[in-house]
Amino acid sequence: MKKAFEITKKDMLLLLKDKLAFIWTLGIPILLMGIFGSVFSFSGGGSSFNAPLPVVNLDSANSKQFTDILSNTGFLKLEFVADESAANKRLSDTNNSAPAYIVIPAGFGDALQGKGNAALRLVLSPGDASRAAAVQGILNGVVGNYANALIAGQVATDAVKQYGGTAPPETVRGTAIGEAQQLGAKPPVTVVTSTAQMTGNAASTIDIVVPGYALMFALFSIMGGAGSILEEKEAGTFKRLLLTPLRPWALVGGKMGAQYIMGVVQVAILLAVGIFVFGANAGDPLGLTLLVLAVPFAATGLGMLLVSLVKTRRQLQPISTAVILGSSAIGGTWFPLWLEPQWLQGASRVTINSWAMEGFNGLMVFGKGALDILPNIGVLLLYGLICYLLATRLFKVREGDSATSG
Amino acid sequence: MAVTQQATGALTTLTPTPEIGDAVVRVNGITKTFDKIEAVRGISFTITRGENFGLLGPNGAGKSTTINMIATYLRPSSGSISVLGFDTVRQVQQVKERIGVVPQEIALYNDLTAMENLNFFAQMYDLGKPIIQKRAKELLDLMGLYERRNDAVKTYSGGMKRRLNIAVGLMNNPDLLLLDEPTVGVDPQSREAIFENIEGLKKNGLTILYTTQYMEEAERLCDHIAIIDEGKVVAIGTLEQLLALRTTQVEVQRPRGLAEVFLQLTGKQLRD
Repeated sequence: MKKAFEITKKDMLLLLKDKLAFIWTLGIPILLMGIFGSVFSFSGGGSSFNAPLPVVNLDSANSKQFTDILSNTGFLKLEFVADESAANKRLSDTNNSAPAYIVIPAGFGDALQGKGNAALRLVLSPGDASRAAAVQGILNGVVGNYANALIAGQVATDAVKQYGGTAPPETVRGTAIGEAQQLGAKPPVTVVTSTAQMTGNAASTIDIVVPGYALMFALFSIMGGAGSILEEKEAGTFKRLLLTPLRPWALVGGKMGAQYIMGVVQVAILLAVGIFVFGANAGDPLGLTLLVLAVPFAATGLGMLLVSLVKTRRQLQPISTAVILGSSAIGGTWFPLWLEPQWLQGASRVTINSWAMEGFNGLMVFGKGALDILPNIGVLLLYGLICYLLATRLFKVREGDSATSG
Repeated sequence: MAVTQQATGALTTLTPTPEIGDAVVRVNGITKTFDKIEAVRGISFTITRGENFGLLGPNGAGKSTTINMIATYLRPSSGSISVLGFDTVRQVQQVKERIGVVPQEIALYNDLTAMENLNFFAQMYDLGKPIIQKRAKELLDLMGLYERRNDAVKTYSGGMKRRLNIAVGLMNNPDLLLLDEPTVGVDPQSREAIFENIEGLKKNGLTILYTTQYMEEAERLCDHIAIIDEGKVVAIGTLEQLLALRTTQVEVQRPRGLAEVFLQLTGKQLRD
């Protein structure tokens, strides 16, 4: 263990001696995160839309006509749930989570038949503003049209009752418009919108962008740092270390140590900038701390594993870039996981990003606590450990396997 | 010590290898194959305590592969090696703890100082801080680097780096020092300094295995020399024994010493 610590200390010393590289390692991601954060703050998100919409139906079957219309829009996939608690759960479920849910009140069906008034409740997810807004728009459109149709029907009925087809059309028209305006001021069906109280503060896009980009840049930095083993191989110092009584686990562990420390520092700084400068939601501090410690561990382990599979830095570069960008794309770093198709969400579970982002989103968007994200922490630690063990094994197998000159 | 000679491709034992007491290294019929390339083909020799043993050979002869197998970095494909009585395959840790290795390349951290390099590599041997400080000072003095001990290695000349490279290999006070072509690319002054350092180490009783392709180095430094070519030992013995081969096998036109014997045994074709 002492030898591993000495290797970590030496790598940190080397890192700190190149101050400019150290500053750029932290500075560039902060700059880029700011740019991306600003861009995403103003953009609306995706264009194609098919969101799940939990429905809590407290009314009789009379409201079926209305829910059929909602389904027929093609934009919403209705999921009938027992109560609001179940619906609320679907908002924070990162497995294809819902951006909103509706509560159909008792008497809503009667209101649709023109018997009284009823207000449909729409509850929006604070962590999915763009899709929630889209659902709101769709619902308002459908309800508005429905209300208009009801008013038209009511006006026509009243006109027939009042005039019986004897009055001049102008008179009927004038009366109908007046009545329609009166009814329109207080439509029979309305939508009352609210935002679910899942976090202390309303979540925004920056809450997703900040951890996502912090994670991606940390991955780049850690993978690049893991390449220092290859740098040592090229310089001959790695071989020299292998010729000392140093165990492979201590060598790989020591090399991991410095990258891990750097990774923790980088993720912590990027998140701190995101929270204190860009106003991202911090969520549960304990949970966030655990994630800041667990994510670089997994990333460092993966970096070591990749390094153990290649021979040169030139080989590492394209492979690590592909792994980072690929896992960022499907693992919820660039787009929220819940926007992905179900099969892709499943596939993304092989990435660090998926487990990390689920944890970050849970804390920063959905207001979960440290206990809720413990499975994510556990998986990330296990991920790093397995990668470390494999890397140690592969390094051991590969030591001195190539021909030497002379 | 046995003297062998390869005249027509076959290895001929001129005198039988005697039983050597106090053997530090016993190399017994080792071979090493990389894919289909046979880099070492049945090499045997013994190094006794306190001697400086030279492995002399052209490029690609198998010198580094042999030294890497002795250092436990490579496993022999067949045959066995014992270092101080420890098997280099089954008792790797014991061997590593007792040897010092100076690789052919300058294996140092350029951004660290000489002191930091020495300190770091010494930590790999679990040496205590006071011992490391004392040993580092001694070696830096010996190599003439003490004044520059706190300068980054990247500011050193090639010769200084070579000397520090040797110093790192000596930090654990080894029983056996493996030097793999330690004078490659250094100026005459640094080479002379390195020679003097090695002579000093030998005088102190350190056992040394020295690989080189330069005749004058082997002539000057080595008690016993094995000339190897194409993965095989073609001759082995003291300098005098090897020079005796020349007088018996070659019509000497001019006094070229060991070089004459070397070329006689290994041929003149290029080994790029």
